This record gives sequence, structure tokens and C-alpha cells, in this order.
Amino acid sequence: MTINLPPRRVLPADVKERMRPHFTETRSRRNHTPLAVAAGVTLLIAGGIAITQPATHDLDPARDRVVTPSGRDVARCRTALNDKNWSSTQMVVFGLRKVLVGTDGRFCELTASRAGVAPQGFQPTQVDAGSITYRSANVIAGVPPLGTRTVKARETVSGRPKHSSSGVVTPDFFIVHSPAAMLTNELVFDEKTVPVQRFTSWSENGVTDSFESDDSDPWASVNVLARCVDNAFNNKVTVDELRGWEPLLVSGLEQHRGMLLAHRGHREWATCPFTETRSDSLSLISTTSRDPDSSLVIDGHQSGSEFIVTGRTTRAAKTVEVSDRGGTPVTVNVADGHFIVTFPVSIGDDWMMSPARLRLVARNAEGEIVYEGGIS
Amino acid sequence: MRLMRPSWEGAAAVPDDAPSDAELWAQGDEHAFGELYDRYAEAVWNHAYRLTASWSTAEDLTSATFLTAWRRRAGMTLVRDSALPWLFTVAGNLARSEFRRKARFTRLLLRVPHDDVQRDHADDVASSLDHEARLSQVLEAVERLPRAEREAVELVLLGELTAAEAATVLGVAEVSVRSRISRARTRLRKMLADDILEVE
Repeated sequence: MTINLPPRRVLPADVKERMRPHFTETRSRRNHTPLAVAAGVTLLIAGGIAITQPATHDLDPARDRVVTPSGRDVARCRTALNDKNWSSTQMVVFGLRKVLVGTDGRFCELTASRAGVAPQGFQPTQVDAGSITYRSANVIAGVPPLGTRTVKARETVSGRPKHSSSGVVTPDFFIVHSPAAMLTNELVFDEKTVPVQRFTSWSENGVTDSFESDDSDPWASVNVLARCVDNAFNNKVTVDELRGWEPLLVSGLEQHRGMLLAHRGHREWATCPFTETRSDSLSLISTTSRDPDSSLVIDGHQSGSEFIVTGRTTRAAKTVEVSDRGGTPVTVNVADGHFIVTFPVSIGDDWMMSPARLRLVARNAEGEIVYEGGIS
Repeated sequence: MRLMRPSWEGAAAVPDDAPSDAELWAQGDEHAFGELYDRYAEAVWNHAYRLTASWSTAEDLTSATFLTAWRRRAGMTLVRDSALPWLFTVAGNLARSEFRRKARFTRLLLRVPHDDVQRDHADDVASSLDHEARLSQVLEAVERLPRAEREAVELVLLGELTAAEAATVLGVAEVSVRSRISRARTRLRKMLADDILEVE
């Protein structure tokens, strides 16, 4: 017994092209005259007026945003996933945040100081005909419904759009990044809106310390700086303001509580206080003084029973002795004219109100005094 | 004259100097996948029709099959260096899930008289409708089969793969496929009218 089947048909060329997955079209599309160009020519002839030929983008813009991760990026994700065989050839970069797509479909989110993966027990969420397989405070990623060409995260309040953020979608995956302040409650695949739960938080076992530097010590100055940069990025500091910083001076690393001073090309400086449990945001130093060699307090930060002062004096100085109200001076190094000095705080002290009580003696490499006096 | 590899039923003939399916799959890029699409679009499209009894649904199913195959390419199984049997299983899985409702709906429409169809003027249209009606009955019967038998029927009776090929992509022994087909034939014989079946 066999089933009386209909005969096979020859596939018409137009049907074949209609069914062709769009990501395989790149080669053939280039041979065609873009419709917009053809339309532009028609208008020119019919109207008799000069027009600018419209630009068309033949390539899928999502493709341009998918790049190859570095070996270091993949290694960080392998550690976070605890899977030495995990591999990835695709990555999308959102500012200082990278999202790697594993060949097995698992996602890995990297920042300067952290790696995020779906925690054990995380259940994918079905959305329309796709699914969310990774979610963090800033990233939603997964498998898009078939044929999806655009994806957007959106926050609505009382049904009205408040914020939205476009993502990247390919036939294999979608990734959408939203700023920290945005509470996404909808995904929009092409024109179709799908509600999603607002992200609260998941157990921390999906997020681990992981650094871009080769140093795995979380208290290496470069890694403290990485945390400060991440925090600043989450606080809406722009990527341009955060690229290219390097540690210059640091105080309190051993105690895991102190102050970091960073520089960018020895032309810009920034501070960042840190403690055992948290780091602050990298904060650019804004100098209003017309005299770049004037001595002044840049930043003050109380940490437990200590007060940390970041100051500036003449760039010729290599060391500076800082004394408080005639007490024993503390000698610290000077770099780019900047220094960090720590004083014990007595109960009742009101340091922030009286930096003027500090006295400085700055010396150059030869030990000669190059500045002696107060600080403003 | 270029030598041509023996092609699968419904698949485009492939020159002998062309890369094999395994080589294309190993490349893993869009261009290579486009080549595979060119090879197997027609075969998958015809199979999709046999799974849905609707040419319009078959189009959607074929497109979805290749997209899904691309996503799941890491899990692909080659049979005699061909990706086609595995593509058939992808189409079958999709047909049973996302496309089942749509296909059912389309088949339901087929039962409604077509006032705008001029049967007298086009024998081919009548023939086509007849095929679709018969196929719809077959598919409804196939849907009622136990899953293991249904999968085997879709690959062997509808897809016209051999039992050995179906066994490879289903990950079971050939003898299991043969016994599933045998049980399925018995059930189908009871469910379907004689004019839909051909007795060998």
C-alpha cells in the first residue's frame, strides 16, 4: 500500500526567490538596480528638475554591527560560563558593553569589569514565535520570530511609549540594549509588539568579576578603574568620555578602600573613590583655575576613619609633604602635578569645610622646593 | 561534459566538482547556505506541500525550514553526504508546530466550495484541487498517528526517503523505522478510503 501522492512540481523561479531567506541574498541583490535609484531616475525625467539620487543601503545594517570577538573576550566568557569549549564568532558592541553570541546559542555580556551569563535555572521566555534566552538590566537577547528584520525594546507607561531602543537582529539571534534608566516592558519585532516582564534582578550567580586587563586581581589598579568606568557608563557618561583612561595614582588598594586618580593622555584627569563593596563612578576633574600649576584640593572623600584628599600642585613637583594644622607631614608622590593624601579623622572633625588648613611643601626630582604654601 | 552527482528526488543536480553539502555546511556562512538553498529549495518546497496540502503554506514552511536550519546548523545530520533528509525533519517539526494551525485552516478552506473556480475551463485546476483534497485527507489521518509513526510516515511515505535514510536522521535503527511504517500503514488503511491509497 502506498499513498496516492500528488506529483512533484518544478519550482518557479519567482517562488524560489520569494522563499529565499533574506540573509542569503547579499550576493544576488547587488546585481539589481535598487528600487529607490530607479524611482529617482523616473522622477528626474518626469519632473525635469534636478534631484539628488537617494542613497540606498543594500546590505543589512544588522550585519555591519556584528563583529568578531577577540580571543580575550571569548576566554572571559568561557570562564563565566565555566565551559572551556564554549565558542563564539559573533559579537555586538553597545558602547562599552559587548554581547557575544555563542555557537551553541548562549549569550555572554561583557563590560570592562564584569561578565554576565544566564544563571543556572534561567528559563527562556517565549515571546511570539521567538524566545528570550538572556536578560540583564541592560540587555535582552534571544531568538527572534522567523523572518524578523527589526527589533526594539520599549518602555511604556499607561500604554504610552516613554523610551525605546533599537537592537540588532539576524536570522540567528536578536540583541537589544537599553540604558539603565529604561524599564523595558515591551519588545517590538517589526510591527508586532510583545509584552515582557520588567526586569528586576536575578541571582548574582549569573554575574561575575571579569576584567579586560590581563590581571585577574580585582584589586589591581587597572581593574578598580574598570569598575569605575562601568559605573560611569551606567550613569549615562558617554562612551567618548570614558575611553582611553589609565590609572595614574591610587591610594588604599591594600585596604580595599581608597581613591583612584586616572589620566587620559596626561591631559585630562579623573577621580574615583572605592571601597570593599562598591566603587563610585569615574568623575572627570573639571579645573576652572586659570593657573594650571596652582595648588588646590580637587576632591575629598571620607572613608571610615580616614579622609582622602586628592589635590594638585605644580607639575614640576615629584613629591609633596602635606601637613594638617602643623601636625606631622605626610609625604606622597606627585604625578602630572596631582597627589592623593590620606589623613586620620578625629571625631568632630569637619574636614570638608576647611581644606585651607593644609600646608604643602612640594619638591622636584632633585629635592628642591618648587612650592611651599597653602592650598585653596 | 560536466559530471553530475546522482541527485536526490526533487533536488537540483549538482556538478561533481561542486563542494559537497558537508563542505558547504562546514563553511557555515551565508554564501554557502545560499548554495544549499539553491540545491534543495525545490525538494523542500514539494515536501512542504505534502505536509500541508497547501502551496501557499508550503512557501512559508519552506522559508521557515531554511531559516530554522540555519539557526540549528550545529545539530545537522548528513545522510549520504546530503542535508536533504535533515531538512525534511526540520520541515516536519515545523509543520507539526507553527504551521499546523495554519495548514488546518487552509485545508478547511478547501472544503468550502470555490465559487470563483471555473472547473470546466481548466482541467489542471480541477486536478490540483483533487490532489489537495486527497492530500488533506491523508494528512488528517497522519496527524492522528502516534508521533513515532507519524515522523516515519512523513519521511518515508510523504518524503520518499528510504527507511535507512529516515533512520539516520531520526536517530533510530532502520528496523524500527520499518516497523513504524508497517504499523502506520495498517492504521492508515483503516482510516482512509481505497481511492486515496494505492495497493501494491
